[in-house]
Amino acid sequence: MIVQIFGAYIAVVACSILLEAPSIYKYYNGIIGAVGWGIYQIAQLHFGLAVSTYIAGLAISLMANLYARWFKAPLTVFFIPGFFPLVPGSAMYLTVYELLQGNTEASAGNFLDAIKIAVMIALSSFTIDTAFKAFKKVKYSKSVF
Amino acid sequence: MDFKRLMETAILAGTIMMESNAETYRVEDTMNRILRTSNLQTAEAFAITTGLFATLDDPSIAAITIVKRITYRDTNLNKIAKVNTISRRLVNKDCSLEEAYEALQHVHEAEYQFYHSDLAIIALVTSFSLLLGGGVLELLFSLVTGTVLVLARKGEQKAKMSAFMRNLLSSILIAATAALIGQISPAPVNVNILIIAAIMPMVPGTAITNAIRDTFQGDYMSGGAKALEAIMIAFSIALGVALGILATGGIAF
Repeated sequence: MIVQIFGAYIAVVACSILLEAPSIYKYYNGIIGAVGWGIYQIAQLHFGLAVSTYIAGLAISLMANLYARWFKAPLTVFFIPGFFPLVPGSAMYLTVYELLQGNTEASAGNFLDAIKIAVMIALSSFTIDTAFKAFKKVKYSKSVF
Repeated sequence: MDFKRLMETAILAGTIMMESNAETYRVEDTMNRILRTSNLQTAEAFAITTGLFATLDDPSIAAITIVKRITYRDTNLNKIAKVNTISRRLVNKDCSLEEAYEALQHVHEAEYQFYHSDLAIIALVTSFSLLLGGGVLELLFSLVTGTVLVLARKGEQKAKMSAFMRNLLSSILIAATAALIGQISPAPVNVNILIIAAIMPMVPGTAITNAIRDTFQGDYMSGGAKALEAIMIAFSIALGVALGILATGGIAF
C-alpha cells in the first residue's frame, strides 16, 4: 500500500514533467496523485470500480480546485496530472487490442470500463466544480476569473 | 483601441490553448473575455477541437472575422497556465494590449530541459509497472522498455512522423522488446505488465476523460472529436503492440 502510494507520487510527478506542467507545481501534483491513488485503493476494498473512481475523483478534484485557487493557476494544470493514475488509458488500449485479437466480449468489457471510469471522473469533477461555484456565489459577489 | 490587434491577440491566445489541449469551454471563455474588453456590440468566439472562429462588430467599425484551423494538439499545461495569466492581466487592465500580444509570442519557451522529460518517461513507465502490480523483476525490466520508448520518441521526432505513425512505431518497439525480455529472462516475467506500463505515456486515458468532460459541458462537437481522437490513438497503439508481438514470434492475431 505504501509502495503503491509512493509509485503514484512518482508517476504523477513524472507525468507533470511530461505534460509540461509549470515546474513549481510538480511536487504538489505528486501529492494529489498519491492521495487520490491511496483513497482509490482503500475504496476498492469496499466498492466496485465506478464508485471507487468517483470517491477518489472527489478527493482529487477537491485538491485540484483548492490548488487552483491557492496558486491562482488554471484547474487543468493540477487536474490532468492528478487524475493520470486513474484515467482509463489501459482500458482504452485493451478495448482495441482485444478487438484485434478477436475477443469481442473482452473488448466490449474493457470499453464499458473505460467509459465508466471516464464518466465517473467527469461526474466527480462536476460535483466539486458546482460545489465551489455555489460556495463562491455565497462568499463573494464579484466573480474571480 | 486597435481592434485588429485585439482580434489577433484573442485568436493567438485561443490557438495556443487549443493546441495545448485546454478544455473547449475555457478556450471560448478566455477568447470572449479578451474580445469583450473592446466594449463593441458583437464580440463572439466559437471554439471546437479542430478550429476557432471569432468575430467583432459594431456600427462604428467594419466587422472583423477570423477563422483559424487547428491541426496540431499536444498537452502542454505550462502554456495553458501562461496564457491564462496573460489574459487575466489583460482583462483586468494590468497590462496593455501590445504587452499581452508580445507576451503571447513568448509562451512557447520550454519549461523543462529535454533530458528531464526523458527521465520522466522512464520514471513514469517504471512507477506504472509498480502500480499495475509488478514485482522487482518487472520494475527492473521497465527501465529497459522505458529507455526504448525514449529512444524511439527521439528518432520519431527527428523523422517528423505523424502522430499515428509515432504511436504505432513506438508500440511495435516496446512490444518487441518486452516479448524478447520475456523469452530470455531467467525467471518468469509478466510481459503484459511490461507492455502496458511502457505504453502508459502514449495511451489516451486523458483524451477520453477530456472527451467526456467536454460532452458534459455541452461541447458535443469537441467531445465527439476528442473521443474519436482517443479511439484512433488506442487503435495505433494496439496495432503496434500486436505487430511487435507478432514480429518476435508470438501469436498476436
